[in-house]
Amino acid sequence: MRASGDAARAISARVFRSRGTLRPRYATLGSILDAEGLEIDRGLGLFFPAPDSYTGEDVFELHVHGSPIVVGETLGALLAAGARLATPGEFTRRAFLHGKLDLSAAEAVADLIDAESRSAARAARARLAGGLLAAVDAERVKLDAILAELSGTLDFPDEVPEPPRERLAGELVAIGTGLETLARGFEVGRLVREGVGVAIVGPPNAGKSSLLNALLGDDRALVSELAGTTRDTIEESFALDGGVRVRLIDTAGIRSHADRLEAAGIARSERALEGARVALVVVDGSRPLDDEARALLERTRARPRVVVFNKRDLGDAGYEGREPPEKGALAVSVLEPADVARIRSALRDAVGIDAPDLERPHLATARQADCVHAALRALERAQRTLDDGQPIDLLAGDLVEASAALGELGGDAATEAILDAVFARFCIGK
Amino acid sequence: MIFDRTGVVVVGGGHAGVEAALASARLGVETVLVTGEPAKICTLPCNPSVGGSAKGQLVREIDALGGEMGLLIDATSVHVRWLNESKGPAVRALRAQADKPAYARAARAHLEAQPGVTIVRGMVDGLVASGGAIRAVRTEDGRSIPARAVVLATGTFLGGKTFRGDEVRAEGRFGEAPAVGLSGALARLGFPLGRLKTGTPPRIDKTTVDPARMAVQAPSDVPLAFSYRRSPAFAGPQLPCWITVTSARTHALVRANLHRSPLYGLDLIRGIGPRYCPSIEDKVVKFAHNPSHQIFIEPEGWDEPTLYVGGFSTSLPADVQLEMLHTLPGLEECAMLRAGYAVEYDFVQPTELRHSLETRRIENLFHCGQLNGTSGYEEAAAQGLLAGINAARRVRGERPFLLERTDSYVGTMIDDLVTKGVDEPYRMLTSRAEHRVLLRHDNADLRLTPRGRELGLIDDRAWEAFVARRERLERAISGAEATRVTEEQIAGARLAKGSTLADALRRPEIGTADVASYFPSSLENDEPERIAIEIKLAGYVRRQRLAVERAARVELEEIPDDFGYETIAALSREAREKLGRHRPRTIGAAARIPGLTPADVAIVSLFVHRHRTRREDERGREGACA
Ligand SMILES: Cc1cc2nc3c(=O)[nH]c(=O)nc-3n(C[C@H](O)[C@H](O)[C@H](O)COP(=O)(O)OP(=O)(O)OC[C@H]3O[C@@H](n4cnc5c(N)ncnc54)[C@H](O)[C@@H]3O)c2cc1C
Ligand SMILES: Nc1nc2c(ncn2[C@@H]2O[C@H](COP(=O)(O)OP(=O)(O)OP(=O)(O)O)[C@@H](O)[C@H]2O)c(=O)[nH]1
Ligand SMILES: [Mg+2]
Repeated sequence: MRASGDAARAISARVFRSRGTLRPRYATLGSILDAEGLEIDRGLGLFFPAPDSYTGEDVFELHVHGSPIVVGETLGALLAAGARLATPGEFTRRAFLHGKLDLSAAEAVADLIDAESRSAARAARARLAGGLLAAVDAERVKLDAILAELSGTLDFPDEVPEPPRERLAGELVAIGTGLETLARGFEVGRLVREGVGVAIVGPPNAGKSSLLNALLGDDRALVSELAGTTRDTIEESFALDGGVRVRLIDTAGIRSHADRLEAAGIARSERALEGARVALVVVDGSRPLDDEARALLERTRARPRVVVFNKRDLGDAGYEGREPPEKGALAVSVLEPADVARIRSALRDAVGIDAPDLERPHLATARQADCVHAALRALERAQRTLDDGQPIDLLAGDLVEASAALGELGGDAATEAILDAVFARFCIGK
Repeated sequence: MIFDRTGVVVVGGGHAGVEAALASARLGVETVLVTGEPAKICTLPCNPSVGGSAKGQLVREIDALGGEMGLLIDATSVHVRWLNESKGPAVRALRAQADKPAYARAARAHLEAQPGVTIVRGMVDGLVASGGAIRAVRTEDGRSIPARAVVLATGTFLGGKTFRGDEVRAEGRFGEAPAVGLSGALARLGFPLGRLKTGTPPRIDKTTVDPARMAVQAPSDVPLAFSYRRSPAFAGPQLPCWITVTSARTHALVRANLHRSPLYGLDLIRGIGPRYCPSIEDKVVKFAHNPSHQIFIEPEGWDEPTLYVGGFSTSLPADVQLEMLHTLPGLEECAMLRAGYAVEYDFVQPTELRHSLETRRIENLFHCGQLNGTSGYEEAAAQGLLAGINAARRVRGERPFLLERTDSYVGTMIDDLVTKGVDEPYRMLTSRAEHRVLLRHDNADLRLTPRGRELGLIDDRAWEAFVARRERLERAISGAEATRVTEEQIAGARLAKGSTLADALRRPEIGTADVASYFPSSLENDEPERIAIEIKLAGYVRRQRLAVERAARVELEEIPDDFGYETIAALSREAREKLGRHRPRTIGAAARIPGLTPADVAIVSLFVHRHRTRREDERGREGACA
């Protein structure tokens, strides 16, 4: 991910923490932080001061794990830190404007932009056709009604009275709440679109691949009584009841004494675990828990997870005849269809998204979230302007920005919409 | 009369034409103003007011550039006041009511006093063009006036028709002949014409109203001026205006007579009217839920017998108009001296124009004013000034003078007109100016007077006064950061110890008057207020400036006039067509064309660069050969 422009350095300071300072053009390992300062992931940060960068401006680059979840959250963190999404081809355009691209490259890029923007626009329209557009419009209509009143009183002072500030303040709060709900929906929308990542993790031979196969209803993964059968992660997608898509990732069993090939697989398992939204922890419940199993249970305690003590048909030594020690853990045999059904339903709870969520409008793309965040920022400024007792004209300026940001979602020009509202609502003119 | 030295011919002596003729002559070009009726030069055919929200900014900008409107209204106003005083410095504006005959006389006098302007009576009905450029205009009585550049400023006269009930007359406005042949001449040159309408209310006898039954609107009790080149002074005794209201009885009369309306029942009018200036018929029909509408009663001059009935524009028959007037409190017994009417006229889509207001089709031909689909005196005057400047510069072989959205309302208006076109009469509104925090009524001189000086429209006296003012302001602004205020509480606001004048002014509660004693005594007129505005708005101004600067790199990137969109395969056909039709002057203007995607704009930007680089390469090679 790349941020370009005057604010790139400031943004890098907000989202990236490393031991030393960022040395120009050197990759530095560090933590990627979300808006609250919590670590999202570790990754590489690079800073290219202007003019020696791709775009010719200050550029900050982040190299993160490919998981869509990490990418999405990092993007969210960048937006929260004040970045906005580039328009199609914007990096290239900036690069071009600063004389960084040769012409043939620029032309190739132009063709690409064109193809991409057209399919993206089609897709965006399709997504917007549904409830999202209506939800965004509902907030925009409220904003434009205020703006119409403000423009009315500014342009036709004899005819449209100045609205009372207390009422405006109340209306702004209501719009802000609506927008925040939409912004939060971005997260759900992304999960809905990309699928919820569920990593099956556990010691070797616990029955992870067997569980994958059982959930898919298909012999997708190789199963054997040998520990270390699965060497690389396997990803398959299936729908939970209620329609939420899950990306199920089977992983290599985690243990400390492993050969080099296996160790590489285990590293992937770790990454899958980090990147997934939900951990599906499988341990062999028929045998006493070893240290590694305990460590895994400990490590995943704080996150959404489902714990299964497998092979209950073979015994319950793992929890010595009592209920499984982990709260909410299930004693199952993945070979038993009724038990698999219980796992499914536990997964659904852990995923935390339900059918009604799916029907609510969600911001599907980061671009849409960007628009809503921009609108929210402008709205906050408007509230401050109002609180400070500044004249209403300055309020109007902030609201125009908010409305324009939402308008970008629906793709129309703000000024005209507001003027239309002025003339529709007020009888004006001498 | 011998016209062979004529440089610029201006057609039409309205607000646009007068500014155009004066500017052209002041730039040293022999100028002929051809107009139907010289006695009607600068008539105010509708309301008596000049300025107001957004329009006041236009008047100030005209003045800052060296135009006439501010001087004319300052010398003839019977009532001046501030609008939007509490709503924010960027939307504050002056509005004045003119003595109409005095205003027109002043305009005529300024024209006659201006060396290089010749006024000619005549109606132009023919345009002579050859080789893609305008060569002369022809009048109805068969004269031909050669010109190196022509400015058309014909207002509501093209194919003009007036309506009152079922009376339809061929008129440019009441009692004046329309321009008959000119629409055809424009059409033959290929200009697409459209039709718009507007209207005016009845005038009543001022001795027959009862002011006691109406609310009074008092004028300012201190003198106020639009012009930077004149100290504020009352032009004469200041007169009040009044407000009255319509009632269910008025509305019932309108409804009962809609069948006699040329707009509704009779269906005679096809032109599109302005939404911000609806007739009383429109108000009653389209805002049926409003139980009453405000009506503004305004004097038309010190000695004029008439009052203007603002908000009461109508084209119903005269007998109905009188009956309706009698339903208004204060007007129960009024005598109507002139009935209201509607006028319908041809206009030329302003997308035919470059930002210099020169037409794309015919070289050296300029359009301005209501002909471009605008309405309003100030809009007309501002365009007239620009068209006159650019026609004269054309004759002198100089580059066009252009204003931008980021430097003025004038630039904003022209950009709106030429990139978007109009589908209803266009009026300037503050909401159209996205950079209005920068484009204030108070700072028009700082923005534009240096430009006017460069053009040659600001004389030495005005320039020296401006330079001194600018220095005073700058000094006082930095001084405010050092001047300590002694009080701990001003206007209810607590101030920290050691607060400066600037700190105090940054508090929204504290106004200029509250800290008047701290300003240097050298300041004149509204200068303390201007300083207060600069300080109060500094944060907003900085943010806006940054946004402008960031946008400017792309915004101001010019697209060559002959740029071939057809050859860019990467653009959709629709985008190619739109760009070909609008021919945006800059990348910023392209981005504002409705329906173009950011990607389209990015592509254009890329190819414009390529175009430029190639040209430079070619030029480089030529240079190498020579
Ligand atoms: C009935 C009516 C109602 C209006 N109502 C409003 C309103 O409510 N609000 C508002 O903002 N504006 C209103 N206006 C518009 C306002 O008057 C104009 O916008 C403004 O005057 C336009 O200025 P202009 O210079 O373009 O043209 P005008 O002021 O119309 O002047 C045109 C001049 O050109 C001359 N002329 C025209 N054709 C020729 C020719 N072929 N040859 C020679 N001379 C020619 C005419 O004699 C006239 O002097 C109204 C106008 C009218 C007539
Ligand atoms: N009896 C019984 N055997 C099971 C159960 N679940 C899995 N097994 C068996 O346990 C063995 C290991 O199963 P896998 O699914 O390959 O285990 P894994 O966790 O994927 O192992 P690795 O890939 O090696 O890490 C296989 O022989 C399975 O048939 C169960 O519930 N009961
Ligand atoms: Mg396995």
